[in-house]
Amino acid sequence: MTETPQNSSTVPSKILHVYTPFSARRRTPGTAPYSQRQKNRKLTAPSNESFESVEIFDYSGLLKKTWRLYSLSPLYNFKVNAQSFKKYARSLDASLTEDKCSFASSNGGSERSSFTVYKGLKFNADDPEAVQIQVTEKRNGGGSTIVLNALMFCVDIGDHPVPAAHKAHFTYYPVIMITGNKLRSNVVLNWLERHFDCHTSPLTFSNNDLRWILACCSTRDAGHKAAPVLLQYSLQNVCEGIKTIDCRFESTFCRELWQRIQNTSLSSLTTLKEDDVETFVGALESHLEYTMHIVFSKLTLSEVGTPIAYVSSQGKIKLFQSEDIYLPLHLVSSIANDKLTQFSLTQTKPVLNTSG
Amino acid sequence: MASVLTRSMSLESSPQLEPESPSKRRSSALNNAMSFFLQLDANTVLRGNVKFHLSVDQIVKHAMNHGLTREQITTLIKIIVHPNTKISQAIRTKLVKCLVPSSKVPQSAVVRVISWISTRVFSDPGPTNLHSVLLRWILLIYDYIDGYDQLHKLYDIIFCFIHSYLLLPHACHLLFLLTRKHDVKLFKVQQLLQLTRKVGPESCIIGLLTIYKVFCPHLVPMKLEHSHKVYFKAHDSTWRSTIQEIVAANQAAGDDNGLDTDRAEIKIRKEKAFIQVKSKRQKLLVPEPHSASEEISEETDLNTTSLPSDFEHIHYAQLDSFSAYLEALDKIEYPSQIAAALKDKKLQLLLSCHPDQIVITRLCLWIQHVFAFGFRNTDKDECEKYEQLLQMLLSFSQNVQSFSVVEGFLECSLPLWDGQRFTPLIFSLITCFKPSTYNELHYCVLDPLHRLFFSCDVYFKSMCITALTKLLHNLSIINYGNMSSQEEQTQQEGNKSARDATGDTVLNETHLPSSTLDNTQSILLKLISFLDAVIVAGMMMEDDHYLLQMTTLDFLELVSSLFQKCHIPLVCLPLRVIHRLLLSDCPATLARLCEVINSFREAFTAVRSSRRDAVTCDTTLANQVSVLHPTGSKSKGVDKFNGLLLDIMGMLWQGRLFQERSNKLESIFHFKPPSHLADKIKDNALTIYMGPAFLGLAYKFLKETQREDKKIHPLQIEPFKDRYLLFLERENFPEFKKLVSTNIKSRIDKTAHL
Repeated sequence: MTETPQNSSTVPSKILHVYTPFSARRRTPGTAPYSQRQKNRKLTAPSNESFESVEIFDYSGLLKKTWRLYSLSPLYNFKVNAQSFKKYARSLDASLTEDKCSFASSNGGSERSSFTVYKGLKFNADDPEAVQIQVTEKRNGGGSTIVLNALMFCVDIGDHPVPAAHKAHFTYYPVIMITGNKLRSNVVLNWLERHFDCHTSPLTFSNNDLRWILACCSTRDAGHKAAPVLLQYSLQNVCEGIKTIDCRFESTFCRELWQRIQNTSLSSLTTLKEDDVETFVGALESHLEYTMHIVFSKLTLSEVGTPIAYVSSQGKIKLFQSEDIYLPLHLVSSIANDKLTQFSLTQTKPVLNTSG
Repeated sequence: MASVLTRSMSLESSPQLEPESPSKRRSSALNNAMSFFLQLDANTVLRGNVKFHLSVDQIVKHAMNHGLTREQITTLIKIIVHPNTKISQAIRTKLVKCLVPSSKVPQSAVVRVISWISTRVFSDPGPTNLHSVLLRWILLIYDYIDGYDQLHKLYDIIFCFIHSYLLLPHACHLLFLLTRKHDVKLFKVQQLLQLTRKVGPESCIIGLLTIYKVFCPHLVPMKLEHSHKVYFKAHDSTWRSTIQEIVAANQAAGDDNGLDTDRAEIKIRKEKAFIQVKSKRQKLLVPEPHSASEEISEETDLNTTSLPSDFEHIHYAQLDSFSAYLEALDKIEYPSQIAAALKDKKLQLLLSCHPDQIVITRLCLWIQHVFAFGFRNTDKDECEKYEQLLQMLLSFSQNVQSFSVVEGFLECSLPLWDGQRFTPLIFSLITCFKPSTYNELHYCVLDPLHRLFFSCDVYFKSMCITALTKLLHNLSIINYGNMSSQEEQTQQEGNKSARDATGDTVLNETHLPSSTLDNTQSILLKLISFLDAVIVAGMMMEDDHYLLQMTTLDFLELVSSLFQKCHIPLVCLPLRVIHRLLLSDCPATLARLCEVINSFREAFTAVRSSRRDAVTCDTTLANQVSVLHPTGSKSKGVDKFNGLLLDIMGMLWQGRLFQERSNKLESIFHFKPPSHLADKIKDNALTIYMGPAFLGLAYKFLKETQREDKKIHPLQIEPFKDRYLLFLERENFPEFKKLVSTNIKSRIDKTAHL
């Protein structure tokens, strides 16, 4: 059973110590591996006077729906303007009708797609405008229903994977979230891959990622009727017969815990360090271990829930509050971007060796 | 009877001809038959005309057995299409079946056929079966036409044939074979779609639309059913096989090969006609080349009925053959998904010839994303895909030298690698690594690798040493290429400036750019030092396993040849490894080590006589490198080598293991053995006749040379060392003799100095 460390400096380092003739060698400065770097994450959007901060956006279309998350590599030659959107819509329509899937509705309605700019998600001047893709099916009896809704966004990420010299040719959306039929989603993703030379993959979250999301999102104040903070642990490979264990905390309890850890007003908190995350989650887990005598710190999180968002390790997200739309979207964007920039082939060596 | 007599008399009365060869006789008979037909007119009665029927039979017989020449085909076609004769449709059809080429079919004949068919397409009652048969004939002999330029010009005429239901399937097939990008027009697509609505989605129309879609996807955006396994059915199989047999039989006579490349193109195009249905759910590991993005590019305007003149660029997916690819090399547009280059050698060649920074960035980002997100679990399918991707990455790195994609991959995956999965592939990727500094190499490769080195078994250690030796070799070759070109450039500049200054050509000393020289030498030197230390530690762990010894010797052989074979101005002695191997109990190891020492001696000698500055050093004092100038002054590296040489000769030959030396050169045996061992370890304990490595050989030598009943001891070999050297040479260890003859100048104990 682990005790909550009082001092962050005594948190054990995660370095694997292997004593060899070269262990004493110092690392190349500034190039410490990913796992050794202390990470910080933002909690609040950057203030930007050029934006019309008084403008209130309606995010109701995003809330209270389960979205599946996919990561995208940078799109090549993707233009955000009305004329291009028309071509894209026409082309996507052709792909949707070309696919011989059985999901075509029995009333034989035709499908039309539309591309629009989704306003209100540009929290940083470097972020591209979020783009929404909707597929609407017209029913024979009249009326139409949205059968697929997809949103490509990039919310305030740090390092950009595209070299600065080529940024004009690429548009980077780390994440696309989709709600709708899975087969149709695959058609849309394949269409993006074929036409914009990108690669898509389902976005999954590791235990560490979920801990970050849990810690960051539970600092938000969501009122008395807010959803509880959920820690769902998976026991699939541990115990036969039990899939998950759900542990719920009141959101106010978690905020009080944060208050004690930070010893400052949460509203003034703008970033969180990895040590803080370890402290918070460690405190919750040690409390659970003391209460239930189950060593939760050895288990893997499969889902975390907070008053503003629920996120599962399989790459699903559900948003609850418009006021705090920035934080969960920023977290998933950062996590996807961090994973991609880990494998940086372009930052260090874009130069051609023409004499080779 | 009378008629028979008449016939026989006519034969008798004919002048006696020289005996003809069978082929000439056949040919003349055929020509007679043809000329009979040519002389026919509208008034000639053919019913009951014996000569007519005999001529037909003659033509059929000749054609089916030997085929027709170009001229004969042209003549026969003239006969078939001639309107002013009473030849029935059945006979004409029979004659069409006789149009079997012996080798080639003249394009003019095909043009005549098409023009004849076109006269009936728009007139009542429309084309007949004969026209259909002729069109089928064109499809059968398509491969053997001697040119296609005129046929391409008649594309639009042939397109009109689709309006006839009888000619539709064959016309579509012919158009499929002939279509090129500028033949695809919107009005043609619209006509085909109209036809589809009228007659249904015939497989031949869908096939033609498919090839149109390949060239211009934006003109055919609608769905195309892929339920047909074959677009164009193969008609007339017997006729086809007859033609193929006859042409093949005649080809042995030495046909022209000029159209072999065209045949390859035709074959590729025909393969496209037989499209297999692919599973829609199956996502390929690496995409196929295609031009889908053209559909939505800014230059495309769907409202125009004709394509803009775009002969400046050709999409890669539209190239059917290697010759077309070579011709259009400067105009090729990359496919929409550049990741197709990972398994397409022609695209890799294109990237090497025309490296485009944006394209490379696209590829790197794709690879980056696949490795970061693409493999989420470790089940068998994912492992196979991962391995395939690594294989593609390796072959790509080997083929496209102008840029490398392995650095990022190795930097991220090596720290997490367990040393077991995909070991040969990962090591192969490591050998493709091209660092710009030693720090980069150490951080990306050496640091994670050395941890695995000390925690894995001897086989991993051996693979690791082999891979790093190969990396050293590759780095020396790459840097040699760069340095050679820079040397030449600097030399030319130096000579030019000398000429300018004095007006005469003056020989200047070459001065290599110091930054490049230092960087290359630094990387190689530090890599050698790294390997030197790591190998010794590894050998300690594995009790000097023979496999490690062998791989280490490969490393030493490379290092010793860096100056002479790779022309790197560096001679570095990996002293720790050499000292360790000196104590080996394997004669083969010691033999190879002697060869390495000889190599080093040659290298040091070559450095002195060379006009180039070179760095000589050893790994124990790698920071204290010194440059050996052509003036011949000694350097620390040379001193170290001299000391080593004296040790080896003293150890193996002279039996002076622990004796003090008059000079002050360092010695590894410069210590006093412990008192309890002082009596047991003599000065000749490690010689070639007393050493533990040579016991077996010494025994064999004594057994062969001494009496059977004599008590033998290796010490008895000492007076006969020279003969023993010959014996070792006979036992496939000539290196010892070479070492002694190179380094011991006389039989009176004089050691050689550099």
